[in-house]
Amino acid sequence: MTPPSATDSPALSSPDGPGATDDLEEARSGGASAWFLLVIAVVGLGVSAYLTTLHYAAIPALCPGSGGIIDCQGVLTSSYSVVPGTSIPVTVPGMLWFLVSGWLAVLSLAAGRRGEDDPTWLRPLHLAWTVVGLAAALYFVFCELVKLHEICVWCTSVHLMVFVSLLVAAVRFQGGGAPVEDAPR
Amino acid sequence: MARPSRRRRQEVSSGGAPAPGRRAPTRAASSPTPSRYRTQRVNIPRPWWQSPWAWGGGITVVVVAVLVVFVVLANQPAKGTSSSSTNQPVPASVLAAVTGVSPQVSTTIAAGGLANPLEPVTGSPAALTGPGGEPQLFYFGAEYCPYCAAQRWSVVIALSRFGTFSNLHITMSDSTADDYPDTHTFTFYGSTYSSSYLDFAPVENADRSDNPLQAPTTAQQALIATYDVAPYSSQDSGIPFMDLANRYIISGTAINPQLLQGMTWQQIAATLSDAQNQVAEQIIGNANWLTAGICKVTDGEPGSVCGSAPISTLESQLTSS
Repeated sequence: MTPPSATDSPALSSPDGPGATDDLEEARSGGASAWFLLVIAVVGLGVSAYLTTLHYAAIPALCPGSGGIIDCQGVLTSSYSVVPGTSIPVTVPGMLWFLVSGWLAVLSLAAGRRGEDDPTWLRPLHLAWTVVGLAAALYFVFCELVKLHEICVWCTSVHLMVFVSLLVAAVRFQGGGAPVEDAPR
Repeated sequence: MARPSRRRRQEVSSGGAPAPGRRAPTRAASSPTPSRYRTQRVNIPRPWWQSPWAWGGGITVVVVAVLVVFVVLANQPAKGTSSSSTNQPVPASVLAAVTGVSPQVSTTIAAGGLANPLEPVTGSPAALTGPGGEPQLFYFGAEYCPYCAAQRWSVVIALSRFGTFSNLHITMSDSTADDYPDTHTFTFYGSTYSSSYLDFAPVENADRSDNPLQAPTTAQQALIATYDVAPYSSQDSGIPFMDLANRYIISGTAINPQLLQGMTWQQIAATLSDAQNQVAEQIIGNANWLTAGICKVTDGEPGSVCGSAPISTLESQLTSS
């Protein structure tokens, strides 16, 4: 029997060849980023739900650091706090955005649990969704800074969560190379 | 079992003989690659600008650049006549509360313990009238002003007894911590008022950020210069300032804005149905005084308002100018 050669290493050993990536490591990193997106979505959903509740209950928001340019009530009661032409607070579309983002993250996690790769459409769709979210967030920041000259800390936290979601979605979209069967001997 | 070499697998799959010097594997030539072996993924090397870090950095740079543009725009000098309102329309429930104050509550409150705020104008100047010849109430204030904020509640209640507001919006006074910040109120900016008894001419001079909104006309400036001074006003050019048909001057507000602190529009509106509530007492009491003054200049019209208690009683207490 031919003794195993140095090149006949079991598949579970450290990879050979430049740039080789283990399937398990890929799964771990993809799962971690999906979990991160899910956590952001849950937190963002919570903050949006809180602000929505305040709107309909007509309760002033707790505003840490209030004073000067920070004026949560001024922002949350301005005309920019409702969907134009309606009385629906913009936090409702915000909640929907985080729900969709969280759902996309759950889809990725579910694929990982089945030992499958993400569907080919999932990461591009999630990236596009976060781009839409960032565009909306930048619009609201424009309203705060340029129109109202006031900042709401709650709104800013939501905007930051959208921005971070975009960064993670972009990294997930770009991360990973095309697989080949074997590294060259 | 050791994994066959790549070369040997190619030979087996093509049906060829084993290479010289090597023994043929004991497995069948057509058997597939054992399932315990996992495919290794190999990343195709990419240019640096296609790396995830480049994407993240690029996105961050773009967002920061946009934010810098926003900050620059925010620090541009305000235009001379900033006309865009950033205020929401008045909620239906709030409007219903101020336009539907119960007669029983109004009667019970009467003057609300407030002194007469209407100062009669001396010298019998020409009546201040609107375009149609009806008596005019001129209001001069600003959205940032907390005293104006308190006064507007009474003005809306009083004027709603003689006509109808349209396009009324809500706002708050400014956030200056030492001056009744964020007092919830209305704004007359952009609103219209229609009545067959009275003309209403409001001027909101600035928004809650002290950006210019509306400027008084030359005639209105003359009124301010003439009557927003002693003995009619305790503070020269103070706001809010109201001239009721050049018959009465109302300078400042009889309402203590402190009472409205921390209350939303809905909460303030909700008090207006409770005659025992201190907020309602001051707002409705002040409104009753204004109503009595309007009845004076409209010669008691409409009778349904001016002839009912407590307005008729308060009207009798007003000093004629």
